Amino acid sequence: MKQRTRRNGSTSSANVKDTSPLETRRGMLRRAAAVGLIAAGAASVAAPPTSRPPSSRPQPGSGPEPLPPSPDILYRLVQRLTYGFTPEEYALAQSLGFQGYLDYHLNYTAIDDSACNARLSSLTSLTLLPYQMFDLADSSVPVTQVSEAALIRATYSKRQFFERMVEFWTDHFNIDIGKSGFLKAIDDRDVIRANALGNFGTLCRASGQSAAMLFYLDNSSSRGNGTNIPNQNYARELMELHTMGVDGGYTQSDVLNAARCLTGWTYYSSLADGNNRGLFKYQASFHDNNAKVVLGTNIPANGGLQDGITVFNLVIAHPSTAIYIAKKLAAFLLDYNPPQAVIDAAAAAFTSSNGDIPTVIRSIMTPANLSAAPNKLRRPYHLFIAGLRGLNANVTSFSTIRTNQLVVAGQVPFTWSTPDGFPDSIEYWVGNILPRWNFGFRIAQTGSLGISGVSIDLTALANGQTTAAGLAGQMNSRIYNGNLSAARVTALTNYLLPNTPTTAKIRDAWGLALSLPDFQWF
Amino acid sequence: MATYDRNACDEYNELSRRDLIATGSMGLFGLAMPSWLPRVTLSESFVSNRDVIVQIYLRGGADGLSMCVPYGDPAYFTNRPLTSLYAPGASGVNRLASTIDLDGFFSLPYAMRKLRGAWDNQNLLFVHATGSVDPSRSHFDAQRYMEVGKPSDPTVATGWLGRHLATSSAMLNGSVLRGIGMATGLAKTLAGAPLTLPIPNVANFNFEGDTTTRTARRTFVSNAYLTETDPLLAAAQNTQATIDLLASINFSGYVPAGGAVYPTASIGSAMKSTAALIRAQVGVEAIAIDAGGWDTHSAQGSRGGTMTTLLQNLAGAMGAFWTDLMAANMFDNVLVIALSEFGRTAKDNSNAGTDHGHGNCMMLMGGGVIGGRVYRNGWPGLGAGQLYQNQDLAITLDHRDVLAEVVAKRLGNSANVSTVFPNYTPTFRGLVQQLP
Repeated sequence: MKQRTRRNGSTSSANVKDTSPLETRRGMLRRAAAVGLIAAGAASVAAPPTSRPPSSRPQPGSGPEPLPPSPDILYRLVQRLTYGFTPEEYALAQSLGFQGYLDYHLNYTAIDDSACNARLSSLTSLTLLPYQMFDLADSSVPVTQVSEAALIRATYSKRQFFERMVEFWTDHFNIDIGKSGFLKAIDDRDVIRANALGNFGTLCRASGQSAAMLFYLDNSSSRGNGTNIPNQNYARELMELHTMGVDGGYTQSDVLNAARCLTGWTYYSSLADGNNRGLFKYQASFHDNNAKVVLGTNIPANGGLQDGITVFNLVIAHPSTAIYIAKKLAAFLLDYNPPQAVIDAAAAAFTSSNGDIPTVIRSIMTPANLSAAPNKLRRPYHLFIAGLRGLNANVTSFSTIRTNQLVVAGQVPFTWSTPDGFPDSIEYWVGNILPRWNFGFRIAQTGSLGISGVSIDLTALANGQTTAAGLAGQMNSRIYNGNLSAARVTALTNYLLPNTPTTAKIRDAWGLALSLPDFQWF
Repeated sequence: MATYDRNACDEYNELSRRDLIATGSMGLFGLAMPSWLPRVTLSESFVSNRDVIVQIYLRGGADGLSMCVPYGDPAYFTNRPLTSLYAPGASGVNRLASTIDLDGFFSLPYAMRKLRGAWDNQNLLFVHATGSVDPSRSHFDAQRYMEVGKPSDPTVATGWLGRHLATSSAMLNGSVLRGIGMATGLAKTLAGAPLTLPIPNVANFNFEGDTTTRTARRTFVSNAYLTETDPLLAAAQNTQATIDLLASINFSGYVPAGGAVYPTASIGSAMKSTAALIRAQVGVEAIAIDAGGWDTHSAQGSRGGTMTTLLQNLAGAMGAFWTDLMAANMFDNVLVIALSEFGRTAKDNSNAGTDHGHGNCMMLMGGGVIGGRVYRNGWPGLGAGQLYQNQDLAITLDHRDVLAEVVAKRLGNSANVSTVFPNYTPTFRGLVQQLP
């Protein structure tokens, strides 16, 4: 049973669980808040009124997803499909409409991205062939550059939704670059980015022949010949994390037998392999050629490479995979706990389209579904990029952000160590809020108070506004499309007073505008 | 006033914060306080003598057969031609692959020799052939069910330690921070805990930017979050209060007692920060530390590689912590638990590694631990016909028995054991002393 909060603030019948000791989380959190209120020392300040209609605001303690959806559905759509609202994206959504804007982003290859590409031009390792990466004098170059490129693209690409989906599949087929090294740079380009809005089966099969994945999950050294016992690591995660899900109906015997089928799946890596280095290799001498049974299917002896291909065919076509991928996509795009009807429709779309990712997304991202979905908490990576976009920051290098701010916040790209990818939950991230506030303060500043490589154009941001109230209104408009409550705008105004604020104060206030609770959600 | 028993300690008899609070003498405060201790006096006092609990979660499935080695079971050696350690006294062996006898059946890897002090002082207990009875070999499910304290139930949202904190009063009246997860995100174990935050670096926790506007910005942010509901409201308020709390402790100037030297690895700094927090007595009563890297599918390196380094860092950190708090005379009310989601296969694989298994060992270290023992509820054996699903060490002792006994006897919460571990009736095994 799970608790759900709908936009009307009501909670589902799962509420009966509230009386059980296990489900007293809300009560506990309430108690924590009560104590925290006293501790914070700010409790004596009256809460500012909110401009939102009471009916759309869940009462305190009514659930884990507290903010109501904004009635501005196109604003919500922009927030969901991109790394954060900009006036330009919103104007596009207005001119294209809900469906047109979604289609525009799904048809991403038609979007001109030359401005972003120009920012990538100095990252020369992005276009190297795999074997050329092996020949680099400094093999850390692709590791650094693929991380830098991820941040540049997330911030500046016009193909915003494509980049969001790259993030999703990067987590889904997670590889820790700390273990895989530059092989992940190949995987990022040739597996994830090549298929992020393509076909799931193609994506999954490409991942299964990715040097980075085979190395990361130890399959590249697994041997099943003779008395050797194969390594189960990749076979297990293929079923548990990549396709069927942990409750997908496979057994330990299926894992063992899949591992046997996949013995010999490795990659070319020695100098003698020349231009093949970094590419998939089937090493017949490692393979267990005895007969196996996987998911009830007999796999006859001496199948060689075909054994592993059969495993992929079985797991990709398994009904559990459609449900698992549908649910995970819906959780990413829509709602941590997607309604069963949404999952069912998305799974049906997955099956009928043979795993066409855009078809599944269209089934999930409808005006009705989005209207009913509670807000989600931005993960730190998402939040930081949204902050940079919100202040239209010019970033000439993400180096400091990658090695400082994102480290403390906990989400440096490609560095989640275990194969499940960065978590996507409120509970995991919400407590570490201080780095989220600090990022806003830093990007609005200059010099030693700012972040090296990051600058903002205060004059352009002000858009002609010079008074406290005018600037606060501009912050609301530039970052939130005017959706902030009157109380928030007043608070910003009061911070900016007297009426002709100093530059230092204006910088502070832009940072404060990014520290608001409203900015934590999308 | 205070009932927190700090025993006799020269330093603390002179400098006890309790006395400082009693005298209220700012002169004494400024004169004699170690520089790393809180610079502000909390007006509250300790009301409990229960243990501060430190959980070290060994993420990835730590190989317990390489941590507390069953050298008395001949099948251990035949199962592991590539990864077994050697019996105590074996000749001609690389020192890193050797072990130190514990009880005639189990031995301690040389890499963990820094735990000898705690073992000899009967402060260290191994519990073997234990673990979560959940059959999952998934890291993520196994961790989750262990952390929420109930196997195979995906509906439980809170962690066992979170529920303990939620059902017990604060150790320090008016405490603003009861639990810390030393990570960038909150460990499931602590989910549901009041006054608890994930904090990756306790030594650096403040508003950045212009210091002259810091107070004004903090006030602005405090007020802005008052409109919110939990969990965002609690996160914001706990963070604001914790900024002041942690600013009162000079972590970078912390001087471990007894000449303790913590390893530079992250587990070392985490344990050092933990010691500083405990010695500062600011009311933090539960600390969760994640130690990763234990998923040793290939080139396990228990004979002088990856695993050796992991064990050296873990044992080095725990050993330094023991030295530090013993010398500070504060070990009586501290309990460290090291555990992992499952053990690893009894047999090694062709990559000189081991795969996901089942039964495992746990470590308990503390003043109230009845240690110097390897406790097991019968040794299930590693031979043919003895293994769980024909491949792993079996579980003969539900790990909840261990944790529940700790909750009841050391954390002063015997009334709520059934909330902390729902639908389970634990058997207490006599692993820890009942608090006086």
